[in-house]
Amino acid sequence: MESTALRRKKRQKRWKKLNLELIIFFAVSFVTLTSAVLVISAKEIFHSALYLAVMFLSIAALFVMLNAEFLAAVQILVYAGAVIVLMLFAIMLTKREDEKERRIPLFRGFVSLLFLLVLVLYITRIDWWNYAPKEAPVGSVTAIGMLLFREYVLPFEVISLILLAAIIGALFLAKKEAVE
Amino acid sequence: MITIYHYLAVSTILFGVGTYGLLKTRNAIKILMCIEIMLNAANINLVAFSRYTGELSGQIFVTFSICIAAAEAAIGLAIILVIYRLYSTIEAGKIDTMKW
Repeated sequence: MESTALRRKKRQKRWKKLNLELIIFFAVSFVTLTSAVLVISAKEIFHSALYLAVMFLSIAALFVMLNAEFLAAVQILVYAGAVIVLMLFAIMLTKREDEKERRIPLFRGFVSLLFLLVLVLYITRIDWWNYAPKEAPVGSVTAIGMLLFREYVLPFEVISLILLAAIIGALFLAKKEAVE
Repeated sequence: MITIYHYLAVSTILFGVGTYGLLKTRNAIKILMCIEIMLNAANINLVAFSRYTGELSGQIFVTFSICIAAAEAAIGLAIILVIYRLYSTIEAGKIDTMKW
């Protein structure tokens, strides 16, 4: 049975460690949400693409906080690496229009914001799980590989077909017509 | 302590931001960007649940979701390039030759 002083010191250390985690969580989620808002509100679409890249990177940081290191790496490689480059190419190959955005009537805007607020409050009122996870899954490459090549090997093979179809489709669509 | 609610709130608000941008913009490429924002919000949701229930299947789901989102972005952008080639515009309201 540990003494009261030792227990109090342990509790103080635990509170300090969790406070830093909370600060980092708020910083990362602030960057995520801010860059998402900037994506939709930037005047130039090139800036939107760059803010989208920032959002992808901050979501990768969020994945690391959620014990999903493999997913964070995949997110950076695929999203921030490939999808952003695709979008930048598409932006550079098309002409920028003067964006006259749709006017969302004020009343509808308020109603949808209210709906979003209700949704957030409802989700946080449901009693999901109020405790920290006891055994957090380690999202290491080993663990994901064990699952991916045993239980989920069929979706894995189907995904390869999907990617093949996407490659062929995108190439076929984007190539220039041969001049007869 | 960070509960699952924190991540669910981030995911929901991000999804709302993506939906708002999707409805407001006319530029087809920006529409695709907002779709990617919404997909990422769903991914955060999945990974949060995977962490807080101990099931690793959520992360496998996210792996497949990322693959499919990348394939869909590639094809969507190829379609946008073809539309630009044919109509010289990528504004969502102007491509209306199929309207009656």
